[in-house]
Amino acid sequence: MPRNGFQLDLNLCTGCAACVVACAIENELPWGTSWRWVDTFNAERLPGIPVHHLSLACNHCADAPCARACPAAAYSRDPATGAVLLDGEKCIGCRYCTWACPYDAPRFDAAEGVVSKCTFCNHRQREGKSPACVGQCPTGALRFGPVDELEGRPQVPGFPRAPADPAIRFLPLRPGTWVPSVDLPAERGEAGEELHPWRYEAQPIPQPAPEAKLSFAREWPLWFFTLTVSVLVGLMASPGGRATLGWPVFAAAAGLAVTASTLHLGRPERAWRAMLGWRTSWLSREILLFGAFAASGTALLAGAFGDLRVAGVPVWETGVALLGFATLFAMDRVYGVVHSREVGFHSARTLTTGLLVATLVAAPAPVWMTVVGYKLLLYGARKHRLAARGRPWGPRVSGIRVASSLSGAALLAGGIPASAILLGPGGGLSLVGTAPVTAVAGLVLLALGEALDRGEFYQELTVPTPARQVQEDLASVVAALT
Amino acid sequence: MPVYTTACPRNCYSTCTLRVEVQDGRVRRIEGHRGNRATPEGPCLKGLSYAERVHSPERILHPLRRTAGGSFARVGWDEALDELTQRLQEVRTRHGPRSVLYYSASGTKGLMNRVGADFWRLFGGYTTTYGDLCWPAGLEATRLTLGANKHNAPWDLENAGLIVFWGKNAAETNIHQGVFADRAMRRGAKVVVVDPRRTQTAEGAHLLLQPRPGSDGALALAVARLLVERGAVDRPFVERHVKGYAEYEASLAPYTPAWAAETCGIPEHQVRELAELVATSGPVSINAGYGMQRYANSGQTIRAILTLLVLTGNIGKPGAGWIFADLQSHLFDDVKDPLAFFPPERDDGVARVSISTARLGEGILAQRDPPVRFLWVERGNPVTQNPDTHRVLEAIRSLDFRVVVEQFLTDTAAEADLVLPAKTLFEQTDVIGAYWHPYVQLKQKILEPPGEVRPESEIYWALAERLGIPLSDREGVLPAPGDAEVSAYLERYLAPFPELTLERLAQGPVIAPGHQEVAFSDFVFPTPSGKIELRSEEAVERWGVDPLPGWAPPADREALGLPVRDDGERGAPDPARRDVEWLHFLTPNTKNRIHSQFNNLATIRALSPGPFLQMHPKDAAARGIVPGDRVRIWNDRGELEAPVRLDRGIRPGCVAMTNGWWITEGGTVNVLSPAAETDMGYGAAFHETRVRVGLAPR
Repeated sequence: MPRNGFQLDLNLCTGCAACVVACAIENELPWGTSWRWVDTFNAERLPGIPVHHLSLACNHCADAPCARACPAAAYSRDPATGAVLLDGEKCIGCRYCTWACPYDAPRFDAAEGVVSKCTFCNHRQREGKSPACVGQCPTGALRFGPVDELEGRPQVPGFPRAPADPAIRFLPLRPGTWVPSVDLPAERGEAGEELHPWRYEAQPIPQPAPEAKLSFAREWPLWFFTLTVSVLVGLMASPGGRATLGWPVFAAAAGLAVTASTLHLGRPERAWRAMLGWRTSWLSREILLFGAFAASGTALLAGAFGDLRVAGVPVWETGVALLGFATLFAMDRVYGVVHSREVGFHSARTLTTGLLVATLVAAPAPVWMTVVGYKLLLYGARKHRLAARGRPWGPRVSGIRVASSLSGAALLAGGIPASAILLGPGGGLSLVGTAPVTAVAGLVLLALGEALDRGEFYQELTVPTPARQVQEDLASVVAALT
Repeated sequence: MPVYTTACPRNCYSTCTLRVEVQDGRVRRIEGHRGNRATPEGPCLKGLSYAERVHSPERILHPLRRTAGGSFARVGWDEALDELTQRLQEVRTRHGPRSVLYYSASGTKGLMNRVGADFWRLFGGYTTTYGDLCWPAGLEATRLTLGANKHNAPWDLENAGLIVFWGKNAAETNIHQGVFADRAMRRGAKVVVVDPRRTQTAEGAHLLLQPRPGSDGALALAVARLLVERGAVDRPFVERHVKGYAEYEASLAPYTPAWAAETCGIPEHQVRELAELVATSGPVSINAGYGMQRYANSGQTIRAILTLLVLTGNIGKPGAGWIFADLQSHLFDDVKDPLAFFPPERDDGVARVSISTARLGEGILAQRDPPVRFLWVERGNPVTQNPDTHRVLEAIRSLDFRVVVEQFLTDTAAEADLVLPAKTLFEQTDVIGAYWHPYVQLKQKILEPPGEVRPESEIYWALAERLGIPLSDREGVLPAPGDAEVSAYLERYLAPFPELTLERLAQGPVIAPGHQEVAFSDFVFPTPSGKIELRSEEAVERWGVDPLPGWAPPADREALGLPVRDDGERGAPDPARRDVEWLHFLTPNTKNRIHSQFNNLATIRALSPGPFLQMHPKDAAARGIVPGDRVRIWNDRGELEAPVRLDRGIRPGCVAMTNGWWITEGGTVNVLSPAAETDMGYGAAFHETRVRVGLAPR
C-alpha cells in the first residue's frame, strides 16, 4: 500500500503557523480552529538549549491507535493514500480515540458533539496535490511524500514516543549551529555579584500544565458506570449477593449505569454504534459483554433459566458471573489505551473492586481483608509513582481513602483489629454475622474508599500529548546539563 | 473556479504575490506564486488570513456617524457626503483649507494612494505630516553614505559567507529571507545575530550578541577599529571608491574593544569574534533591521554599521552588501524615500508639510495660522501607532471634526465623527512596488466591494463633485469611478516602461526595469562626491551631526536636544544604575501582525490572544514577579497592564511588548513611548522608552 507522510525540517520551521491557517482555510473550519498546531520546544529560551518548533497534525500512523480504539467503526483508511479518516457522521463523540492518540490529533469539537481531525487533505491528494499545510508553508519546512522515501528521523525532542509508526520524519537541527551563544555580559548586579553563567541559569521556568484530557469533573458518568457495574458483578458472583438483588433492582441499576455512561457521549443518539468496533476496540467489547451480562443476569434473577448443573456446578449462575468478570476485564482494558505509567496494576481497577464486593458477600473475612490490603498496597504504590514524578497526588484525599477502607474493614470485622483477623484462626466474621448498624457503616466507609479511589483515578490519568512531551523532554535536557 | 494573481500591499518586506481562488464571490483559497523568486512558497499566516479578513462580519460596510450618545449609527452615503461637504466648506471658509490635516500612513501601498493628496490640492490646500514612523534614519544614513537605497536581490543571500542580522528578526518579519539564509548556511555560511532579544532568527546562528539597546554604533566602531588593526581593510577598494577613509581611520582610536564591551554590556571576546568573522568569512551581508534605527542616535549608528562593509569592500559584490531597503521597484516616484517625506525646502502655498509624524500630538496642538481643525485619516491608526498616545488622543479630541476611512473599528476610527468604509486589497486594482525584492506587481481587483464600500478614489470623486470642483480640474487628476478609469489612471504611470503593462502584470510579478541584481555592481554612487562617503558634509548641513560616523549614548537626550521626560535623569547617564530600576522598553514587531493590522481576526487571535510583557527572570525576581503575574508598566507618560511572560533569552534590563495591540485589545505600547525624533530622517525614536515595572494592583 502506498503510504505518504510529512517531513518537517526543524532548521526551516520558524513556528509561524501559516500551516495552521492554511489547514483551516482548506478544510473550511471555523476561524480560529485548525487540525494542525505548533508546539515549541524550550519556549522560555533556556540558555544553551536550542528552540525548535513542531508543526503537527495527524501522523496517519500505520498502526493507528485512534482507529483501533474507536468503538463506533467511524475510522477508516484510504488505501490509495494511507490517510486515516474519521467520519463525523459515524462518530458518537465518546472521545476514546482522543485518549488513545499519543499525538493529540483527534480533538473533540464540543459544538458538533463529535471528534474531528486532519484528513491528510485526502481530497487534494486524490487530485495529485499535497496537503494544504505543506503547500502553504512559506519556508518549505513542511514537506510531503512517500514515507519510505522521506529523509529524516522519526524522533526529535518533544515528539511523543509511541509504537504506532507515525508517518512523519524530522530533519533535525544542524549540529554545531544550534547552541546560540547567549553568553551574557560580565555585568555586575546591584550587590556587585557577577551574573550567573548560563549553565546555572538553565533552570526551567515553571509552566502551567497543559490542559488535562481526562478529569473527574468531565468523566463522572464513567466513574458512576464503572463503579455500579463493579458492584453488580460482585453481587452476581454468589447466591447471597444475587439474593440481595432481585431482577427489577438489577435491571434498573444496569439501565441507570448505561444511561449514565451515554451522558458523556457527544452524540448519545448514536450510542448504538458503540458495538460496531468489537474487532479492535476494548470499549466495544466492554459494551457487548456488559450487554450480555445485564441481559442474562436479569433473566437469571427473573428465573427464566431454570436450574442446570453440570458436575454440581450451576451452569447459568457461573456463566453470568463469568460474563460479569469478563466485562470488568474489558472495562480495565479500555483504560489501557492511555499510554500512561499510572495505568497497569492499580488499586482502582474494576476487577479488584468486583472481587472485593464478591468476597465481602461470600467469603470469610481474611479473604476480603486480603483484597482490601492488596488494594491499599497498590494504592500506595500509585501515589508513590505520582509523587516521584512530581505530580500532585492529593495527600488529603489519599488519607481519607485509606482511613475509610481501614475503618470500614474494622467495623465490618466487629471492632477486632484488622491485623488480628488477617492473622487469626479460620472463620473470622462474615458480613452476615455483624450487627446491622456497624455493617452498614462499615460498608459505607468501604464504598467511600472505593469511590474516592476510582474518582482520583480519572483525575490522575494523564493522556500523553506533544505539549506534555515538550515539557518532559526539556526537563531531561536540563537535568543532563546541570 | 477562477484563480487570480494579485499581491499583498502591506508594509512588509516580503510583498508576496498571491494566487487567489474565488468561489461564489468569496475567497476560497490563497496560495503563493512561483513566479516570485523571493516568495515562491507563498504568503505567511497574515496573507492567508485575508480569507477571513475580507469577509469578516466585523468589517465596516457602510458610513457610520457618531451619534449624540457617542455610539455609531449607520448613515447613507448621501447623508455622509452632504455633511462632509458642508463641514469642509465651513472649515475652509472660516480657517482656510490648511486647517484640514490629511494624515495617511502605511496601511496599504500603491499608486492609487496618490489620489488623496491630489484631492486635497484640488480642495485648495491642506496640512500634512513630514517624516515617517518606520525607517527614515536608516534610509537617510544609507543615502548619505552610498547615495541610494538599493541592495542585492533577495536570492543573492545564498552566496553570502557571513550573514549578519543586525537588529533584524527576519524569521518573524521577513520570513522568506530565512530560506535563502538557510541555503547559505547549508553551504557553510556563518550567521551572526545582534539583538538584545534572543529572537527566532538567533536560533541556529553561530553567534548572538545582545548589546544594550541603542549601543550598536559603539559595537560597530570597535569592530571597525579591529578590522583596521588586523589589516582587513580592502585598500584598493577604499582608495577608488571611498571618501574620507583616512580621517575615519584616525577617528577610531578611542573605540577599543574594551570600551565597546563596557558600553554595550557584552563580553569583549564577542566584539573580537564579530570582527574576526567580518574579516575572514566574506562575502559579508549585513541585514539591518528597522527597530535598531528607532533611537535618537540611529542615523549615526547605521552609518557606523554600514562602514564595516565599506572598509572590507563588501559593496557591489554577489553575496555581500547592505540589506536595508531596496527601492529599485519604486519606479514611479519622482523623489524617492526618504527625501519624499522631508518637508519641502519652499512652501508651494498648497501643501503645508509642517507636523512631525513622530510628534503628531504636540504638532497638531501647536499648529497655528491656521490651526488644525479638521482631520482626515486613511490607511493609518495613529492612536495606537504614533508615539505618545495620550497626546495624540488629546490632539485628535481637540478638533472640530474627524473623518477616518477604515475597514474595522480601530482605536482611531473609534475617535471619528464619521467613519467611511474602506476597501480591502481585493476590491480595487493598483500597482505596487516592494522594498526587499525588485518586483513591480499588480494588486488586482478580484471582488466587488461588499456592502456600500467605496474605494477612496470614488469617495474623493464624489466629494469633489459636491464641493463644486469643475470636471475639467478633476479629470486627469482623480480617476472617475469605474474599473476602466482606474486602469487608465494606472496606465499613465506605466506608460514610460514598455515592459510594464497591466496585461503582463496580471500574469505575475515583473522585475523592475533597470534592476541591478547586485546593487552598486557598477560602483556608481550617487553621492555629492560620487564616492561612498564616510565623511559627509550633507550630514552636517542637514542634521548637524558629526561628519563622520560616531556614537553618542542614545539616552543622552539633552545633548541631542531631546526632551528628558521619562526617567527624570539629567546629566551623564550611568548605564549600570539606570538598568536596575528603569528598564528599556522595546516594542518589536511580531509575525502575527503588521503593526495594528490582523490581530482583530479570529484566526490570528487564536494564535495571539493578547499582549504580554517579555521579561528576564532576573528582573522579575528583583520585583517579586513570578510567572502568571499581571504587571503594571509605567512611566510619566502613561501606563499599561499585561500578563508577564518570563523569558531567559531577553537581555536583563530590557523588557519587550510587541507593538500594534489596540487599546481595546489590551493596550497600545505607545502610551509609554516618547514623541522624539531620530537624529536624522525625521523618524520616530520609539525605542527611547524607559519604564518601570511592578506587580499590577489587584
